[in-house]
Amino acid sequence: MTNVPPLSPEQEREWTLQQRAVDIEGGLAGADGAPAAYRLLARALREPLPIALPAGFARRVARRAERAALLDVRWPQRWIVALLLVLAALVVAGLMLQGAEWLTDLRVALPSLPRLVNGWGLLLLLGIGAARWPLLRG
Amino acid sequence: MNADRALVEAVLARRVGAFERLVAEHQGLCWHILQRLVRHPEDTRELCQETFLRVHQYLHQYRYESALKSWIGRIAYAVGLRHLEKKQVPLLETDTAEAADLAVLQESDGFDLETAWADAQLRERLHAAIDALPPLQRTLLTLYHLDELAIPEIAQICGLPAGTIKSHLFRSRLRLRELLQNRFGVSA
Repeated sequence: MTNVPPLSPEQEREWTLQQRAVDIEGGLAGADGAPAAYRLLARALREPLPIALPAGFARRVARRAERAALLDVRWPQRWIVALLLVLAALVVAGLMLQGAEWLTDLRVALPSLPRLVNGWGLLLLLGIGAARWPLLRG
Repeated sequence: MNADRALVEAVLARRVGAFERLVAEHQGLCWHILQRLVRHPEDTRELCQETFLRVHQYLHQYRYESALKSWIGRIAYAVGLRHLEKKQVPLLETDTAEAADLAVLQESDGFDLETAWADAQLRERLHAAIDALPPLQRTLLTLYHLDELAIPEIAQICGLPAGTIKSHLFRSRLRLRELLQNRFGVSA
């Protein structure tokens, strides 16, 4: 479809006549040297198309584009809020299901709090935290 | 190109009225491309609108490698092509009749161009003949004659080699000349 053979020398001469008609009708050349049919054609092709652009087209399209862009910005923000709400709901659900157990663990740990201050105690706390983390994330 | 850059930067900075100015500057070209490709007035309006919505969405990707006009024209052309594909309308005739024998196309003396031009019926039929050309050919003719784009600019919009554009222009005009002479008796 896209590749068309180049013009032959005879066709190139005809092309020159066509271009001469374009120049004449565009006021770039004198009136001689182009077939009348090509001049008629060049004139017809310079005429406006039958259907004109609707009035106020640019304003309407610009408003619509700007509205669409605003929605594009708002949607990610709404998604972030929705995800934060889901996360908060999971935390609440986790506390409701496992909260009592965590409280018991804490009570057991509290009397021996002074011993936790040393390195082994902190390591133990970190271990518990790491084990509970997937549950917290739901 | 500087005017293009200023306008694009104004749109990207969301300055009031900038995008409307961009649409107003380039709507004519898009309208011509789409009207010539699809012909249907409602489809032309919707596709033209779609073109500018895309322009607004992707303007940040414009790299000033071609004139803004060509970049927007290319989007309009792509939107029109996709529409034709959906409707299964061929861009070109599959049976491309070879150009007429050039020797036949000789004009008689004394033909009055202005009288012929004043003939409303002949003009109407000539416009109908242009309209009956395949979508690609009538689009190329309009871009070249009405929008006064150079062949390399048209090549950028349509993504076709410049030689192919020239060949299509040549064959379409030859075909219309033949029609004017043989059917409408322009030179008889």
